[in-house]
Amino acid sequence: MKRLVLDASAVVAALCSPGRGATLVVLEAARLGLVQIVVCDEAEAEYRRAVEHPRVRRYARLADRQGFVSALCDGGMRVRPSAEPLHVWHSADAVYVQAAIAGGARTVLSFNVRHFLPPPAPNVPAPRHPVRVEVAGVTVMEPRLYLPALREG
Amino acid sequence: MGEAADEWYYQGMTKRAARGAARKTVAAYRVTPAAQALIRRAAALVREPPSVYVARAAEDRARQDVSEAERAAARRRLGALLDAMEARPARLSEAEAEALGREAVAAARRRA
Repeated sequence: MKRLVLDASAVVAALCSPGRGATLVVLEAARLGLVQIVVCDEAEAEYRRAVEHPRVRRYARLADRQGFVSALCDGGMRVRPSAEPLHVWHSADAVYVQAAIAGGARTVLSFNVRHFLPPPAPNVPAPRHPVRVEVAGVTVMEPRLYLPALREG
Repeated sequence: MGEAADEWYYQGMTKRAARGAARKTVAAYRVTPAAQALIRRAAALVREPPSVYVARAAEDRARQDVSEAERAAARRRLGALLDAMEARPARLSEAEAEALGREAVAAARRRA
């Protein structure tokens, strides 16, 4: 079974998505047991904080947002993130890749792919909107790019 | 049974009565003699008394079954929630939902 990690931006997008979004398709696949979501305590804590953002409360298509996070996390594979040090632009995002490494997942789905780039060197502009980045053997990509892999089974 | 494993298994059990007691422990499980022999062989390989080995294996299996059942229940709950979402119309486009995802994460990190 394919394993993957969702970052908090993908979880929020799923909650507010109009219904044909790639993240929702991935969650449907998780529901059917076609993919396994890998989670860790740090990721769950960030999901829980993010879904309480006032605009998420307003636009979420579910009133029970915390229940949604619980169902997502309880149905997944819980791991302790790997201790491998990673140098990514936003250090808070490293935990998603570390969880993927610990859980044997090859993919992290995020709408903040840029955060996973190496820290920018001085005077070198970072790519503005990368959609796919490799970090320590884990591919971080936008959810829509994962759909072909899902179709392959 | 390998020689080294055999030696470990019977260490200190030079008396026939002691051997019998160890076998009875495994015999308490309602399995065929062949399965009992298998258990004794596996226990010797991992250097554990057969009764400890069987108890540990049973505990591991029980934990695995319980966690599988809990995961399946959570997946059903997730499915019910996804179905419930269908009933409530979305007020954001896909692109707006993605942007809100980024915004919510940034805000959550500022608060943390």
